[in-house]
Amino acid sequence: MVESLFTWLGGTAPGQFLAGSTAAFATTEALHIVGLAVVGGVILVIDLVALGITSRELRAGTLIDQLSGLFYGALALTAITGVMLVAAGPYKYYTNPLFPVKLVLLVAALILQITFRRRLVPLQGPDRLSRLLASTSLLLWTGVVVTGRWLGLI
Amino acid sequence: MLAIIERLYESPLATAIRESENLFPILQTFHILGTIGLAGAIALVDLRLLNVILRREAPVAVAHAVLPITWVGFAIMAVSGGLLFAAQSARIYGNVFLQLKLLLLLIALANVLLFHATTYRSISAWGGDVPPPLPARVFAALSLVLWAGVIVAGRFIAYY
Amino acid sequence: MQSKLVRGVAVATLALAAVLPVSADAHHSFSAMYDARKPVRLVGKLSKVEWTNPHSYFHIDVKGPDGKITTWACEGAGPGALSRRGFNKSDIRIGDTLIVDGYLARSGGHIIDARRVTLPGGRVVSGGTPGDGGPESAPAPAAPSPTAN
Repeated sequence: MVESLFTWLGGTAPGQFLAGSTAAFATTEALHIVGLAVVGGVILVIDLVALGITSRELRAGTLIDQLSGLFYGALALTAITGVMLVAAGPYKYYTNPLFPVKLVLLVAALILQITFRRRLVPLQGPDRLSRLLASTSLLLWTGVVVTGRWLGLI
Repeated sequence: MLAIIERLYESPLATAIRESENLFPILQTFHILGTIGLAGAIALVDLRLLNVILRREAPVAVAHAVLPITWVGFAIMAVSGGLLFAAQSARIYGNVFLQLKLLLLLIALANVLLFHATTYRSISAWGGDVPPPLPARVFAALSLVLWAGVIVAGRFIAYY
Repeated sequence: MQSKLVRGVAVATLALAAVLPVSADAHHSFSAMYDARKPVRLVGKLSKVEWTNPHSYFHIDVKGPDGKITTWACEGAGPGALSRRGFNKSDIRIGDTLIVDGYLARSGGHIIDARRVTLPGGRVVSGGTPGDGGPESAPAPAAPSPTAN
């Protein structure tokens, strides 16, 4: 069932187009990196503030609220380009042992972001809970980026 | 120019990195993480200066919180980028996208320095409901375009 | 460790080959730079090796039917990925006759991506990053194709 999803992706128009065009593929990949840089930037700032490593003037809780539009916008760009990259060569991802690892880490990071991070909002400053959530967030998102990079290297 | 590139390429360090099993991929990993720390974080400052995000926070507070992150990001990029370039230099120095990337990088850095030497000095006065002054917004818009350009040009190197 | 990965990939490849429709359109090029519709088999003498990151290069001299020698470049994965697949620098020497299966580069030059390398002695190793259902799973092309189209 999973493999037919990959096969279907490969047969779609965007998948076929990207597979046949070096420029389109490279552009999509580049946009994927721009998107993940912004997602990562948002996460990095929120988590470092929550850890008390940077800034005493800002509060992680209000940052999460204010940055959520940018976060989800950049995440959408990254996710859409990501799916397109898979569609351009689905077999490669289907057989790569790191790909499910990346997806699991991504889902975990998103669940953390959506559910538990809301708890950060009323908090005044860094405390044990915010430090734990922030550290876990940094680890998970770093894992997503690193496994994503190593997909093509193993 | 070519002689210097050849010497760099043939140097023991560049050769070791180029022929390594894991060192080169590890540098590539730091290069993507550094991209987040440098370009991703800078984007937040630029977007604040453009009055698009974090409007409840004073620009100076955003700058104080985020700019130190970009310095660490820059350090990671300088080292990883320098080593990755050295290891591939003779092969890629003629690549038009590598040249474009380096050019955009230089302009982006000049943009940062110029901004900090001039308009940035009055950052503490900005905030509230008043958007930052026009020069700041121009620097910020340029910054976004230039760093995005560095990323895109960089990715294209591998394909052409 | 390496053979487990190779075996895992091989099993997955065969399993997938069994269920995937084997049509050229379903296959995709390695990084959009190689044409999956143009599988190539090269047989030639290794004249140069670059065991390097980000890609390795095996240059082999292929003798055409007219006796003319053409040098082809075969692009493989980096040293780390190759060694994880059981392919090491010491496995080949200048002058060795290699059989390299891969896809023709879109750029039109004498370049293929090295999907599969048959070493002197017959051992077959993977030369590229994880495949996309190309010559690794399909039968090897019928005839050597030493000239670019």
